[in-house]
Amino acid sequence: MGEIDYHQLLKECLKRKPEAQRRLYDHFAPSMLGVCFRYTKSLSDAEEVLQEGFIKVFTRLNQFKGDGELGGWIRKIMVNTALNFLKTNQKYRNDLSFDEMPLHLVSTENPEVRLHAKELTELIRQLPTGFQTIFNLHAVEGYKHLEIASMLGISEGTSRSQYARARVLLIEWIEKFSIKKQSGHYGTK
Amino acid sequence: MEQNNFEKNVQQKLDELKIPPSDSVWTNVENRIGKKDKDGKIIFILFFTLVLLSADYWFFNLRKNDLQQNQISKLKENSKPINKHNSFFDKAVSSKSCAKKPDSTSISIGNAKNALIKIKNKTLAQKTALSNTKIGSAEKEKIILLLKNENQKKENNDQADNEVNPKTILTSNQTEINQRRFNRSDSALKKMKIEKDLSSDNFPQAFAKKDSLKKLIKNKKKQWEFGITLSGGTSMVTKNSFKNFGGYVVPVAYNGGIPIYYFSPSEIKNSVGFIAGALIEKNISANKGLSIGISYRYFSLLNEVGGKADSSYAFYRTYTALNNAYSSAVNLKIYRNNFQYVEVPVSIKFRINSNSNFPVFWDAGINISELISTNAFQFDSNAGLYYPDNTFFNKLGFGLNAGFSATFFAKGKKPFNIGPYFYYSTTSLANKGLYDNRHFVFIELKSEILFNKR
Repeated sequence: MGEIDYHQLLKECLKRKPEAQRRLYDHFAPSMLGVCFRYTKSLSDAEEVLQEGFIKVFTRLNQFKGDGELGGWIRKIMVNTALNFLKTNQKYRNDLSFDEMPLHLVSTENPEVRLHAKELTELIRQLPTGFQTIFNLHAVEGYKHLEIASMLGISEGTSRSQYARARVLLIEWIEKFSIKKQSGHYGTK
Repeated sequence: MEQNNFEKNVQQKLDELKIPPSDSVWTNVENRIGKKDKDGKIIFILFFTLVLLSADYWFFNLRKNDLQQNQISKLKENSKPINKHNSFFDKAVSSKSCAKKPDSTSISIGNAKNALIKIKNKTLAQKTALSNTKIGSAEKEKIILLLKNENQKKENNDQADNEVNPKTILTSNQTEINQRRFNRSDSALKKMKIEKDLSSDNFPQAFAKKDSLKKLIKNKKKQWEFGITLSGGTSMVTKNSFKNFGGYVVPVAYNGGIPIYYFSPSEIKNSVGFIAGALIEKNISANKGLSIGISYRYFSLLNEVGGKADSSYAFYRTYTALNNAYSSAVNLKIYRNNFQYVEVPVSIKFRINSNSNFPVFWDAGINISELISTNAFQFDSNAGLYYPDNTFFNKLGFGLNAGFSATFFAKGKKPFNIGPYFYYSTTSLANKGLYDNRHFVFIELKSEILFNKR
C-alpha cells in the first residue's frame, strides 16, 4: 500500500465516510490482526478481538488528538481490547490467574532469533495465557512492569517473575525449534 | 544492555507479522458502526415526529374549539326560527305585536308563543335580565304547555326540519347539528329540569339555567378521572465519551521520567427502574385523551468497583477502580447507583382501533422531573477512585415518552391500561464527570388503573 495521508483519512473518517473507514481498515487490519493473534489461542478469537477493536477505533476516533502516530493509537486499543477479551472470555479467564511467586532473576541468555515472525508468534502462543500476556506486554509492546501490574490488577513482582519464567521457557523453545528446523524436522514456513 | 537485544529482536520480528483478516470481519464492523449511526437517527426522527404531532394536534383542537364557539355565538345572536312552527309563530307574533300591545292580564296563546320565542332567542344576559320581569301564573302554564309540545315536535321532526328552510340550515349547518345532537341525547333530562324550573316562581331563569345545564352535561362528559400508575422496566444510560483507553490503564504522559497514569472507570451497566404515581385523565374527544400526573421515579445503574479505599481523599466513601494496582480482583464489588426523581408527566392518548370493548391507544408526552436523591459515584481518573459528588448532576430534567397501551375492562368501573413504553431523558444526567452528556433511557411495562365515577 502506498503512502497514506493520515490527516486527510482521519478527517474523512470523522465525517463517517464509509470509503475512508474501509481504507483505514484495509491499511491497519493485517498488522493489527498480527497483534491480536499474539494474545489469543486461535485465529477466530483474534479476528473477534480485531472486530471489537476496530468498532472502538471508529467510535472513538474523535478522541485521537493527533499527538502520536495513528497506528500506535490503534495498536493500543487493540492491546486493551485483547486484554479485555482474555479477562471476560471463560476460555482464557481461568488460565489468566497469576499466582504470587518469588521474584526470579531474568535469564541472561540472549539468543539470536532466527525464526520467521509467524514461527515466533506460534511459539509465544504456546505459552500459558498468563505468561503469553505478560511477555507480549513487556517484550513486544514495551510496557513497564508497574504498568502491566496496573493493567492486570497484579503486583509488580508477579509481573516480573511471570515474565522471567516466560522468557526462559521461550528461549528454550526457540533453541529447540531452531535445531529441529536446521535438521529438517520443521518446515521453514 | 545485551539482555535487551532479545526483546528488540523479538519486537522487530513480530512487527513484520501481518495476517489478512477474513472478509466477515469488515462486514461485521461496518454493520455495527452503521447500526450505531442509524439508531441515533431513528431516535431523533421518532421524537421530532412526536413533538410535531403533539403541536399539530393542539393547534388543530384549539382552532376547532374557537370556530365552534364563534358559530354558536353568531347563531344565538342572528338565529332565525328553523322549523315551521317557529316561522309561523314568528310571523304571527310580529304582525300581532305591530297591531297592538299585549295585555298583561289576558294573554292570548299567540302572545304566549311570542313570549316563549322571544325568550328563547335572547342571549344569556338578556334572559337573566328578563328574569326580573313579572309574568302571571296563567301565562306560565301556557308557556309550559307550549314548551312541552315544542320539545316533542322537535324530537319527532328533526329530519323534516332540515327540509323546511334549507338556506338557513346551510348557513348554520354544523352548529345546528351539534345542538340537535345535544338535544336528542339529553332531551329527557332537559325537559325534566326545565319543567321543574318553570313550575317554580322564578321560572324565567329556567332559560338561563338551560345554558348552564348544557355546559354541565358537556362537562360531565369530559370530566377528569382519577387513576394510579405503576411501571417497571430496565433503566439504562446512553454512552458518553469518558476518556478511557480500551478499559485499562496506560501511562499517557511522563513527568521527568515518571509515568503519569490515567485510570479508566468500569462500564456502567443497565439495571432496574420503576415509576409509581397518580394521575388525572380526561377525554378530550371520542378518540383522544389528556392525562397529567405526579410520580416518583427510581432508576438504577450498576458498575464494578474495587475495594474500599483507605485514603485521605476528600470524600468519606471512596472505592478504587478495578484496574487500580492497589485494588485486587478479590475486592470486586458491584455498586448500585440509585437515582430518585419526582416527575410531572403530561401525555396525550390517541385511540388507534375502533373496538370500544378493547381500545388500544398510542401515547406520547413530556416529563418534567426533579432529582431528589442519588448515591451515584463520580470517578477520578488520576487517582483511580470512585467517590460521591452530587453537585455534578442536573437537578431539573426534561424527558419524552411514548408507547402503546391496551385497555381491559374498558366499560367497567375500573378500566385497566397496560402496555410497553419508552422514556428518554432529553436533559443529560450531568454536565461533567462520569455521567457527562449521558441520558437516561427507560424501557418499561406501564400499567394504569382509572377510577370512573359512573
